[in-house]
Amino acid sequence: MTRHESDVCIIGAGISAAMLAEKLLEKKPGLKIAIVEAGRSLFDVENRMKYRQRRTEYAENPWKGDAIEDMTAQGIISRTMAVGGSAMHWGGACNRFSEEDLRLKSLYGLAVDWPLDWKELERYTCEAERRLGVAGEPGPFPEDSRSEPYPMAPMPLTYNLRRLKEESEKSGIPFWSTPQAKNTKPYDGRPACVRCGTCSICPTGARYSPDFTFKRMLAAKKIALHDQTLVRKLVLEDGSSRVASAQAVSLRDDSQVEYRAKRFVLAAGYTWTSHLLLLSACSRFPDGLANKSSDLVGRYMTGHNWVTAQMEVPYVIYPGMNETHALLSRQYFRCKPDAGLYARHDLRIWESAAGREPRLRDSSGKIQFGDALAAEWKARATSKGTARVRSYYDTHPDRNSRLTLDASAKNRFGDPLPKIEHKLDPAAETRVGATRGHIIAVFEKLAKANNGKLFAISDGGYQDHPCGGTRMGADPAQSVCDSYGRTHDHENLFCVGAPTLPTGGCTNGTLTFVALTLRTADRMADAS
Amino acid sequence: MPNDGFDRRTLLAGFAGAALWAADPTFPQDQETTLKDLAFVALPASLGRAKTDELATKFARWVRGYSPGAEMEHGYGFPKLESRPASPAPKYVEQLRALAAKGLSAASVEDALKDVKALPRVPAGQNVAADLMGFYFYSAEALDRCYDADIRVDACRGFERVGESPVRRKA
Repeated sequence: MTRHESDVCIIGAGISAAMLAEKLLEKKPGLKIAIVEAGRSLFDVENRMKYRQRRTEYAENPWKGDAIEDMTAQGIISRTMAVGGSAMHWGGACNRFSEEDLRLKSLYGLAVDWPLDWKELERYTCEAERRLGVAGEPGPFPEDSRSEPYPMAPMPLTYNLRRLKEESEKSGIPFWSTPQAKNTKPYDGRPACVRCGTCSICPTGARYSPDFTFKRMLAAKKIALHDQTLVRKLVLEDGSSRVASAQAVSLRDDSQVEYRAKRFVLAAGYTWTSHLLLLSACSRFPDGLANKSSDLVGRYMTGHNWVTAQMEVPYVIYPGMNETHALLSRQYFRCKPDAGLYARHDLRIWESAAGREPRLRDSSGKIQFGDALAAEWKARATSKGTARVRSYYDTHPDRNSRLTLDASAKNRFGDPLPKIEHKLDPAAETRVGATRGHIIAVFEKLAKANNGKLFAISDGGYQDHPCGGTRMGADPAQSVCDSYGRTHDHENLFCVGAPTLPTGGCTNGTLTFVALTLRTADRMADAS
Repeated sequence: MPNDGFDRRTLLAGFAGAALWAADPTFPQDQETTLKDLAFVALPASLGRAKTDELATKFARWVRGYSPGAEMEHGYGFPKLESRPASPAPKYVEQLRALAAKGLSAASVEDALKDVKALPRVPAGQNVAADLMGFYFYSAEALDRCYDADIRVDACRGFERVGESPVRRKA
């Protein structure tokens, strides 16, 4: 068995791990940090243009080897397991949560309050925006005021988005450029975006991904990164509830590896964090680590529901100008506590090609090809346009919204795999129909402002931006960790990022995951 | 998913080296003329014969560059690990031979397409006529032609004049 010792052992190498390690090392330069990740390092940015081309031409995975065949879960929404995690291929959307997300119980009598206040989180959100490199513009609402400006000017609106903004704002709903972690000028050693339109494989590095942070720390020999190493169990010190080691296996050769550290941080995302805690059950913690005080590990799994639709508009939209950028409105981010319906949601508009693509069969079902197909396509594409609208809406998890160990599904080492079953709490479940109706009415308002009409209205079918499983809170009986991610049951074990959120908000979560992690880093550094 | 030591991707990668799965460096074999004739009928003839010949040649290059067993994107929401299937070249050659035997015409192309429901965004390896059409009609070049615009969806284009209509200015 190989043994490694460090001051801090971070398990999982996604965006939270990158941010945590970077900040810890800035504050405590001599800190010895080991980062352990089951997936591979995909650091070859120089080849990404080629991978982008193969993706475009052949629909090949531009992140080859970013999944592990026998590490999956029922209910999981991404198979990515790689250094950098899902943020290797994210769209870079960096919307903020709002104060209401942190005060649901106080303001509305719903779910729980978060154990920290908005002003503090907002400061860390600014820091997250600086570190990720977010290009954005402030919205018009005073409730969305910022303590710092965005690091970069917003992503410019294409002709499509300018037209959609102009027409959609006739509804009285303001729209602006969605903030994104994409450089609009050279920033942090990475170039400005050149609008390749394939942000899931950004070939230039203009869109932030954690590999840049890891590579920088590795080049400075500041961290030890152990990729392709799967942590299977955390082991406690004899006679203490402190974590002594992480027992792992190398996926290269199946050899055993042990990590000993003063502190351990689980940065393994919403699935694998709870999973490892449950796998680490022992005689003193028979239901899993960090699970004695609350029995909440793997519970309150959350995210948000969503509704989407296509909107036909009576003017031309040119598909492909920058399909990964959108208009954003926070008009519905807050509702009055005495409003008849609690409905909070974001609102976004993209260019779309729906209904404007070439067709093999005309509207009567007749086969067309050659010039006939081209002519029919041209007539359909250039007479009208299409936009896509979408809203994420706030839902709250039930206690039995769970990640459990599935004894019927095991990896090659015999460890049971996770099974995730989302369940809304009764109040959220009751609201779904009315919330959905409210959102469709907003979409219709937009369509009317555009002199257009909706089609293809649909629900997402899964909870997006999933989080929860080790929720934070002040009460050890009602939460797994405190507001800094330190588990109530183990003084040297922390959880960071998505799993710590008690509720999933109503917009993309990554910026908030990072902000919370940066706050944890401050706490850990101050305590070392 | 229960694991029994079976790693599908490794297995497929192994298959990729086998003859059955290998890319065909000789495509379209002896059917180059048929492929070009097909392109002239299935793609807009108004492009001109030289252009449809060029598109047929590009399609053949695409087939030769196809990589059986390559990982496909596993998606988001309902992810699935999949690999690219065997090279479509043998099926294409067989279908081209059948078209040549019938005589290439609008009627024979329509007949060849009768069971196809929609144009594949990326050639699907099932029907050479549909795949050739998808190859062209979903290209950046065809999109720009449709809109008489310089969208250049496949390019890294920068942001100059991005707020303006991309429609080509008349000379």
